[in-house]
Amino acid sequence: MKRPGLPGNKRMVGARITPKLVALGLAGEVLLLAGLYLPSALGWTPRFLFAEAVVMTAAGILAFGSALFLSLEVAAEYQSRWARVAWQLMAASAGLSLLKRCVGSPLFDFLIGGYRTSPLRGLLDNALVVPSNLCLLGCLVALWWSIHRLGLGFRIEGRDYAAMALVGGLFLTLVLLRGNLSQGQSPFIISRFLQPIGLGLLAVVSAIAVALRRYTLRMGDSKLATVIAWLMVYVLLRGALVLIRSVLRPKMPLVLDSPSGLEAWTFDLLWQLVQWAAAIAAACGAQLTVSAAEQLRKLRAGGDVAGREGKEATVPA
Amino acid sequence: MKHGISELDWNDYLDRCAPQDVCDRIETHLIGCLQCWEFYERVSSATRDLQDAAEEARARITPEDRHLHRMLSGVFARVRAAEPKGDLHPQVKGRLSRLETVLAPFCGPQAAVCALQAAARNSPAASLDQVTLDNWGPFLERLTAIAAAMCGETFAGLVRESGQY
Repeated sequence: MKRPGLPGNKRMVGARITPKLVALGLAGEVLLLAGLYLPSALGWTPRFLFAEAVVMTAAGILAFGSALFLSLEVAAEYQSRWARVAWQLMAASAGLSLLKRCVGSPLFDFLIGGYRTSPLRGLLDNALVVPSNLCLLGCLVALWWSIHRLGLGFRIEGRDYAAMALVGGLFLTLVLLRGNLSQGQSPFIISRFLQPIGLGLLAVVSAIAVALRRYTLRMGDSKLATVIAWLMVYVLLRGALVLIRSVLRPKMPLVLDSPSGLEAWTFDLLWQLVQWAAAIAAACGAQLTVSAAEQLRKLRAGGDVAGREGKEATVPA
Repeated sequence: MKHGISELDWNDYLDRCAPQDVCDRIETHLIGCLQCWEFYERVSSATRDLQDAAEEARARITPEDRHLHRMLSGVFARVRAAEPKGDLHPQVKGRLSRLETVLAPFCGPQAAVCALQAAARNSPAASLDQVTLDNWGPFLERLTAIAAAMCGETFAGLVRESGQY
């Protein structure tokens, strides 16, 4: 019987863009931003806003671009419908986030005055955030269902539902108590609706991510658990940043991406982690195939050697 | 023995399986003995009633095919449960252990065991204890499908080939 071929490691994006490489990208960006910001914070140099904007935009494109290509590659690896759909939706979410990173780039501030806080940017941001969060929600639901339907006996327990309700309640409290959101007075009426919808979706996505924690606990220290854990980090970090900023700075306009002011430098930096978390999740997903292909190659090599030795042993002297 | 007729003779006569000489002796005696005639009437009537009731009961409780299938399934399940565990073929044991070793780093030790059990449950083996060399093929196919849904086709290929050696 002819054995199916192995995915060629050299052709796989996942073999080149490893989680370690993505982590190096994250570390490189953090170091660059710190290197640009700290001298000005200490008063030694003026603020290099343009350089910071270039670094943040390039890093965003690199991180979400990697997440997009890697997710597509992972999706192609699955013939199981739900798992494939999950990774296709992850790729769509990364693609939309990449677009959002482009249209929300601080570089535009150097071309259009006040662009970063303008209603146009709010509209573009929210018009991309809503479908992106919707895709992310679909991704997590499809991922959950693809594992649940296998009948492995993994169940979401009562305390998981409680945690989900807590996360949902936190977001609901935030939206209800804060009154007007940053787009509440936008001249674009659609923008006024899109922002709470985007936040609501973020709440639901965060709640589901909390529930997926049960699956990672059951899977222990494994490659698949690492993939799900990084997806959780990606989702929950976004939710946590929105909530924390809302609590710490209640007067600041609530947007899914903080402005690049001096005070918000830390938040800017944390938002950079979000995009790299998406890339690491996708890179870990691709590593499932890379590792499996490597083991399969070794197994076949071992089997072939054993087969040859067996044949040689049966040849009469 | 009463009036020269033993209990065994009475039983055989009432069940219509007594030898001819015994039948002749009893019938000759019944013509002249009222006590034995009344006894015969009473017992033969009761025997007839019992036979009729047995026929009726047999007709009423004859199981349909699906009932029979269900009852037999229960019987076989109890027989299986009564069989001693841990008597897997050494080759099957080795293969299962190898598959667990392949699965565990990818989906965790607990999920690996759950995947093996789920594959056995949904294959003709019905449980991991019942996996044999004869039903290994369908079991491995099911496990490969689970592996494919969890970690992709390449991993499924690894599981399939690991389970074949």
